[in-house]
Amino acid sequence: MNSLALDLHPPARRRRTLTWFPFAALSPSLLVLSVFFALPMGMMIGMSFTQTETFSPTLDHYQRFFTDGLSIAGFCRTALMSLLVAISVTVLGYPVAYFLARSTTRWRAVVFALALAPELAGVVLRTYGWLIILEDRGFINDLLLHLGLISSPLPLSKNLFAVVVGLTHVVLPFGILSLMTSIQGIDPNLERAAQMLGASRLAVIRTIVLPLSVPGIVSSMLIAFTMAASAYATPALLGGAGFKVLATMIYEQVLFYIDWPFASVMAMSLLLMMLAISFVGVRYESRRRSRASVSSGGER
Amino acid sequence: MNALDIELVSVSKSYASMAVVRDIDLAIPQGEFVSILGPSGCGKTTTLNMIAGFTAPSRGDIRIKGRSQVRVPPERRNIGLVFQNYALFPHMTVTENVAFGLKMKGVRREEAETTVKSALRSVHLEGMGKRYPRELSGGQQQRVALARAIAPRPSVLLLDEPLSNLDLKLREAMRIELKDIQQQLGMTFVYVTHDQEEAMAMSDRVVVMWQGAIAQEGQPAALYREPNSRFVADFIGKSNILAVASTATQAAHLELAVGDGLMLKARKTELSAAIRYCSIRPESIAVLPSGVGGNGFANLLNATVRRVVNLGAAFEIDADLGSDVRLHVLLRATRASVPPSVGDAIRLGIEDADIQPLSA
Amino acid sequence: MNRLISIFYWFSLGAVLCFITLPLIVVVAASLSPTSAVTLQPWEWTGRWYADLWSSRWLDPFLASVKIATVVAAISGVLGLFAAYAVVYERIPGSDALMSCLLSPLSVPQIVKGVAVVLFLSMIGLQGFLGTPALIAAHVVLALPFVTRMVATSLANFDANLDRAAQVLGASKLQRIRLVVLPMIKPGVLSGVTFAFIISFNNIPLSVFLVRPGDSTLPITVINYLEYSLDPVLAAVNVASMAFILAVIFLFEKIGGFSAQLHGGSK
Ligand SMILES: Nc1ncnc2c1ncn2[C@@H]1O[C@H](COP(=O)(O)OP(=O)(O)OP(=O)(O)O)[C@@H](O)[C@H]1O
Ligand SMILES: [Mg+2]
Repeated sequence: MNSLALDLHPPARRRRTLTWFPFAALSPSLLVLSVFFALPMGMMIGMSFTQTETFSPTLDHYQRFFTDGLSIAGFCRTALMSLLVAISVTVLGYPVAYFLARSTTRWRAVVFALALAPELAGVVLRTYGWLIILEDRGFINDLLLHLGLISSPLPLSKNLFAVVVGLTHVVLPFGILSLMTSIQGIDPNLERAAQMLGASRLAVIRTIVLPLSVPGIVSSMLIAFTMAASAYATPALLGGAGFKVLATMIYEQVLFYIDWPFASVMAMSLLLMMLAISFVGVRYESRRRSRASVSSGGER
Repeated sequence: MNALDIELVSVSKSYASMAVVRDIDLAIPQGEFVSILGPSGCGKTTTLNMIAGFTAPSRGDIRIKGRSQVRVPPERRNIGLVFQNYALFPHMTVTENVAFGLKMKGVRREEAETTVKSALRSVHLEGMGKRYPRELSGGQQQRVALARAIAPRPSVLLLDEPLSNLDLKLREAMRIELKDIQQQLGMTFVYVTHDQEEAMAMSDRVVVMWQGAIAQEGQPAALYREPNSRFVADFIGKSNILAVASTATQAAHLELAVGDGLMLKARKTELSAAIRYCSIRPESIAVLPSGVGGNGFANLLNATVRRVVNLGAAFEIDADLGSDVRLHVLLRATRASVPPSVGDAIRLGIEDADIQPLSA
Repeated sequence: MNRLISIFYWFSLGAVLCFITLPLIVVVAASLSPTSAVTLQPWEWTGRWYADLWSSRWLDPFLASVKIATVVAAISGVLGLFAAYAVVYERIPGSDALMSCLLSPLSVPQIVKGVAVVLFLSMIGLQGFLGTPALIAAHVVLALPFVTRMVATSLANFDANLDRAAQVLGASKLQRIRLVVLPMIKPGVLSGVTFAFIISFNNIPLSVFLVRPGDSTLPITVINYLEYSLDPVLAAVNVASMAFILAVIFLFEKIGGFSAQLHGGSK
């Protein structure tokens, strides 16, 4: 038996004949992503640091971004718009998510379909709908004028308000889904227990449901923020020519001013805003996880 | 002497220098029903997976019918495996599930059909062939899993806690059925469980594992009667385990000092190591009214009743012998037996053969 | 008090559902209305805008979009299936890092990906590549991580004991993949492919950089018109393309997509 003592057997499971195949299976994806994603991204990043005429490294484009005033304003406008969208998506999404998480009636399927159907319609259709509704001669102004509540149309379109409304509509299904998942994770017996202990509906929501769904609220805000900040069509169409956010400014730089390095800098600023936000999300999630594992570890 | 079906020769498995299975030697003759019994995490599944071929042993050899299997992949070992969660293919009907192994072996269609029929018959599922697994109850799914595993006639069937997802009544019924099927087929069964009753009820032989090693193996009755360690005595059935302070060899007996100097007479053993504990089964202790008879017992002890628990079929009596010794005693509930009350003085009779000295 | 809360809850639920559906209803109404504005005038309807769709002005971009989305769905379906297989099922060395690589495009906004691709093509002198080929490449980059993730999720949810059960019953690896793994993950693959089709078909932020005059997709054609008119024919285009998407989903669902994923899982 001593001869066996050092005999480490190779795992019987992997057969020699097939070992190259997984690598072959993976390579086309990696190739496509390298050529059409990693390489272009690298080139764009490089371009943002390069002098156009001399090809020497420079920070001029970044300096221009910070000093020309318009770019920073666009950056801040993007952040403000995304924050407003994040808040309104979460506030509007919450009741629907709660209903979807708790209802067991057949209405649940109906509400679910209603909440998610717009996602299939695409952004253009929805934006078009909001244009018709919010226009100076549109649905709402027409209604209000007709009822004699106003004498001249309210400025509902071609501004921040219209963009926030439109983007809220675009992002809402995603917010609802993440809130719903989180609320579903809360044991309904907790709510019943609180009720049995004499809590009113409001107290149950304030002391049980809301605190326990904070992770869902955070993730819904993060999703909404990132989707809003990188949206192009809705701000372009509902905001009008004067409404500039990073996405529309990038588009102008590429197709009208043909200033690629500066477009790259703007794209970088948008990318960094995104990464910062997702970093916040990742940090939050990992801290929550570690806290959760500590508290459940005590029970074992 | 039967031919050996499975042999494990000093098999070990470590994960990143943590030894999970340590030096297991096991020889299972053809047609035997062997249970591997042990608490959670003791390495039962790992051992089974090494026999099946999903896990390679770090050291040692595994032989099936005398041939080393270490380099043979699971699909060529010709063994059957029943999973705890059944692992039925949800996209196939019962018939397709059971026929799967035959199809893989290239068995002809008509032959496969009759085999599937007879496999389903042997698990009492005739007429369920067209159903999908999700349309069956847990017990029925369990039977399909069994039929699927036995249909290709493997030389060995491995079962990993196959009954643990069933409720108690069904589990007890399935024990008997499994044993019947095993005897009809004459197939070697290696049955993994942490339920000692299950292992005792079905097996020809029980292998008790603890912390990755074999603690003891033997026939169920022998294991119960003569455990070789505190762990086995405690794990199989219930037992009173007393620490032994010192031993003295008398002419006819072995005297064990327990507690604060209470002496118990036990049979002489050929245990070489020092005796550190002894085990007394609660049902082997006789309860005698105080002052009357009982001369046949090697040990006659006075005790006070501290607690009586009615278990239905029996009374569990917590008896205080003084000298810091307490014993649990099981008194069978018959029409005649009147359980003592708390505070009563009783006498306990214990045969010398019922005191099992343990060295570990 | 509880009553008030309850009333408020139901009211807000209803209001949000109205908010969600209102633009859709308005667009459908607009597509049937004879004038360009949706007003409260007594209402009559017309199918004339739908009749207008049958012209090359709308048909060409529609067919281009269908073509691109089909190719994108096929390519990203196959590549995503293979990639997820290698990383999740085979667990090739470094699988976690490889998975993060495969999913990394998800963390970059589409508009940034679009800029990067258009700059890249211009820099290396491949402007001729713009139009359909560039659209397909960019859409694959967009869709592939989603498909990979969906297939990877269904592979990860796949009960490894099923694979082992097939193995001890004598199935070789190819047989197990064909008879057990693929049938089990089919819903995940099909929903991935459907999803790829839809995000390609509806895409704006990438396409907006990559189209060429005469080689444009439907959504880009629509937003270009939308910038200067609210022509009701646009409403009809939108309604028709939504109907088309629904038909596609229905088709894939029939082949055995999403709901099978919900009911036929391995448990
Ligand atoms: N792949 C692995 N890597 C590291 N440790 C492992 C691995 N598989 C099992 N172990 C460890 O090996 C030990 C034995 O595991 P095993 O699954 O064999 O236990 P078991 O006896 O079947 O227990 P149970 O009754 O709970 O199923 C456990 O401590 C487990 O944590
Ligand atoms: Mg186990």
